[in-house]
Amino acid sequence: MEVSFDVEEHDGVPVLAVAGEIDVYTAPRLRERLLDVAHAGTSTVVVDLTEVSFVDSTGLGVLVSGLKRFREAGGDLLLVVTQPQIMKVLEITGLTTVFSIYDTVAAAVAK
Amino acid sequence: MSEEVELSLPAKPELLSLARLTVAAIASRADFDYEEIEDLRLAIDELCSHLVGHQGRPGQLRLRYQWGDGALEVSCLLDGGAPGGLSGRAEPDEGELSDRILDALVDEHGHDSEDAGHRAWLRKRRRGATH
Repeated sequence: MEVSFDVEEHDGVPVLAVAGEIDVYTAPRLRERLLDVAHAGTSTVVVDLTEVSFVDSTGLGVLVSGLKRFREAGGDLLLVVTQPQIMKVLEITGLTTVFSIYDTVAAAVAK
Repeated sequence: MSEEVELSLPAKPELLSLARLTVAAIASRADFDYEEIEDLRLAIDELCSHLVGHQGRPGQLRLRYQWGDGALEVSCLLDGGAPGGLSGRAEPDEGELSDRILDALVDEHGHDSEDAGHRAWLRKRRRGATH
């Protein structure tokens, strides 16, 4: 399984829904999609990882770089995570204290 | 270590999923539980991603999976070398994140360079294994 992306607006906030596996092969596509959203002029993005079954350090590195870019622009990059294995990777890398993480898109968009 | 499987694949990022699939199948045979199998899939990916890099390398990635006595060891050798070394992380935080993941998920891991090429390895004991 590779990876797919879908961008939809929820209450004016772009939500980038990712499905599949994010590894050294697919992470560059995630980086491109985040840049597309940033270049569209939005300050905050929600990245929905609900359908992501695997993420490694290359995927996390892309998300951290995206987070820095959006925060420097006065916004934020919010995560939606429900898969225990994805949450575990965020925990062991210490990133649960770096990202704002929600269990639904609605909760993230409401922030 | 009583059983062994070897896998050789071109050192291309799009083929690393094969290394993950293989370790999942072997870990299941070796009675690792679901969470441990997921840990091993990620750990193998971290080992191999560093060797293969974002652009891939010339040559083959040779993986040796050995298991027995409640433990699994995997060695990944990049033969054909990596001209200019193994640097080339796409994002500044990747290396540190990868080290944290490996430290948390396996009992031992390391890497070295030898005449045949760059090598990375890991060892994980099954939960509850007595040896």
